Amino acid sequence: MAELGAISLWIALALAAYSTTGSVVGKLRLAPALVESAKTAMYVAALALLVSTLSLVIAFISRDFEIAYVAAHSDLAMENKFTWVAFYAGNEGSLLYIGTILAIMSSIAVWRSPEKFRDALPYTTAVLMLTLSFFLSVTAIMANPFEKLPFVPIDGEGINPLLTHFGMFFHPPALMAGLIGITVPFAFATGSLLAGKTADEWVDPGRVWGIISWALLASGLLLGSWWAYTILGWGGFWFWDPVENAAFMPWLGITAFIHSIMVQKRRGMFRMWNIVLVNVSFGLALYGMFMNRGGSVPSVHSFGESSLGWIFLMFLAIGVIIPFAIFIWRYPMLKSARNLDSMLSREAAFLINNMLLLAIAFVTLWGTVYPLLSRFTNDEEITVARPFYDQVNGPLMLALVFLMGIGPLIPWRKATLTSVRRSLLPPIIGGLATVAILVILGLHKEYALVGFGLSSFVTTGILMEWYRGTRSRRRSSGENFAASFIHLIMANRPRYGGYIVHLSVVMVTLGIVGTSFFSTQKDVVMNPGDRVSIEDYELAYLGSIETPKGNRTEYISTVQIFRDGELIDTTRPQRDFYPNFNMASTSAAIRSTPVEDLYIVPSENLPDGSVGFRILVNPLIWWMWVAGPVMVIGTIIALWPQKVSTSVPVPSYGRFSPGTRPTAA
Amino acid sequence: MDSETLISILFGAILALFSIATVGYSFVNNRRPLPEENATYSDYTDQDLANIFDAISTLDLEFQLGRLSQEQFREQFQAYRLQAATVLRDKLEAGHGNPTWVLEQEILLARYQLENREERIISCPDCSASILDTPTNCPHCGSELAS
Repeated sequence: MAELGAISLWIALALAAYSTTGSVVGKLRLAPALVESAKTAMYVAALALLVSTLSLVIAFISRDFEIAYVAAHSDLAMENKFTWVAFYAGNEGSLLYIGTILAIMSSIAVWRSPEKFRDALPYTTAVLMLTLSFFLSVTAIMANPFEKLPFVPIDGEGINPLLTHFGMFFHPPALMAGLIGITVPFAFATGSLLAGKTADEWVDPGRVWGIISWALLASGLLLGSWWAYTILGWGGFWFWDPVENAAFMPWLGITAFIHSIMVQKRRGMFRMWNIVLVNVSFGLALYGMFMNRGGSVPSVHSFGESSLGWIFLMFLAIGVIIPFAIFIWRYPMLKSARNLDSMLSREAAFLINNMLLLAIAFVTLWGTVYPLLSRFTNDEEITVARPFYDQVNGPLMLALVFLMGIGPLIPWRKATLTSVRRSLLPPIIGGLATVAILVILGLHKEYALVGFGLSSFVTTGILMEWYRGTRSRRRSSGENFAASFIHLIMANRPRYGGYIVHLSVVMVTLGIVGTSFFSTQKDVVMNPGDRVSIEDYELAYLGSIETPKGNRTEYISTVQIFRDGELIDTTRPQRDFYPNFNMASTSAAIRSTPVEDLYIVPSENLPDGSVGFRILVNPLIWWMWVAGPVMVIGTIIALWPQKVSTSVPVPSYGRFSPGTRPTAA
Repeated sequence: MDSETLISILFGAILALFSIATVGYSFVNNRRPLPEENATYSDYTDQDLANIFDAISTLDLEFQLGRLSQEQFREQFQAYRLQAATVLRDKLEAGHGNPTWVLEQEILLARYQLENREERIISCPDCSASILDTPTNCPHCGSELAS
């Protein structure tokens, strides 16, 4: 299988390189056959990469330890279900995965591109295939997953224990697909600029692929947070780790882009903004991949020591400088079709949205690179920790949530103060009422009050929009309330899908505010029979069972949970020790409700049978994990092709000659 | 060299030949000229436009036969009108068709609208859909309309 995988990889690289040059030369020389051939080469490259991927998967399933990558990331004890995880557990496999995903996305994007973009399509193909060529060159030359060992070991080294978690099936692939997916809207924008198509031809495919990348990144980030929460054993979900930040920043950039592109789609404005946003997002995505593969800041998420850092840094430099040079070259042609009519308009809200998101991205970037800068300038590494991000990004994020509440309620072009007041009054009342109730209930933390108040403000606004729309539709159609609501959403999917996504952001906000301000933590060492109290709970530790397995020793503890003297649950937090890796992985016992999580994780199993436990009560974090599926549903609705309703069948062509028939009535 | 390696190499060679053949086929098969610089395209065809006019005509018939209420007729007519306007605008922007013909279509649509309702058509300030100015909320997006 190694030979077939390697041959397919080299074939894909040759095809990608051919497609890059063929597209540009064919376009410049007006050679349609060459352009078509280059496009076909892209499709075949995707096929070749699928063959290569399949070869590696088969090698893992058959435990072909002759292949160095398979020997390094699997062993005979590994369950087959983890083959998919082992596939991208290292640099080599993950690069092959990235290449395959990029090739598939590129093929679909080019195949489905609108006819009106045809003139610029060769350049877009060239940008996509140039990026693919880079990744495949690195994979084939520097990190080939099909490299063979001079001997065949009896067993492999095994999979990293931290990766044997359900979240790992989706978190890394979603994140990697999201990061590389940004190449597609970027390629449409750059192709459009190179061809001199500086109007709005690229907007539709750019928007669709921007949303796809956004959703993949958002899912990846949420799943990563969930993974960290359940397996890393520290009770939190976000550490402002450099690699976490590296995935978060492009997400911020692409969030700004998918909002801003709506202004170009609807009003022909923000043309420069959108090019800048997609370029920035692409640059940040490349930075994310650089950090992940040999960036100079160590992280729990990176692939560790690697010689690939410098080459990714070089590609990052090229990927930032050249697109901005093209932007400056085409700058005079990028004038918007209209000017901003009023600062009291939806366009203005989008403008502020762009600025806030970019501000958060650059604050995060500054915090991420500051340790490096301080090392170069002062010979002393100064690490930027969570308080910095909380203090600077916290208020910016709250401002963003506020904007999320008012933006959708302001009309395009220009709003009057009366209409704004009328639209905003119910959400403001909702927000203030929530704050008042919480103050009466004894909550006095200002930031938390603002967070909850804004969450209520946004939710009230969205629910009000739904109610008004449904009521209006019910009146006009005579349908019942449920049917009217469903038809309302189906009639304007991007808008209502967006609202659902906004609701998911509110859920995430609730989780963040709840855990940031109201979390309670206790670290205790307990002997069998000991009891400990936290908040309204009392925990009784009964004992632990030690079970040796093939590649690890499992320690399963039994902890009973009491509330008001009554036994409400019996949990079994687990800690596994992997001697090959000299590493332990934990499985927290989490009793989760919409109000709060009771989180119990064993941090140490001592020889005398006692166990060190970390126990937390995390309010509202449940909402954060529910936000993921809600966000995915919202995104699917927003992306679902809009069909104009026609309840009357359309007769066949030919019965009616355009230009004469409409007067028949 | 074992048989598995040989089979792998054989499959690799087949993939390589397939790639060359597929990529080369474009040179044999493709004679389509590249578009002129700055040419524009419309996603819509005359067929689309004809279908829309046809649908409007059928809709009117259904209404006259009493199969549709006034409200249903209005709502569906607006949807078709919006479709037709989009196609016409797109084709005009793409430089397709005779501008006089396009103008004629617009006039016919407008006349058709006048014959069927007295209400004024406005554009929703929120979602830009063409709607009657009578309801308090846009039937497409639900936005509250200023009086």
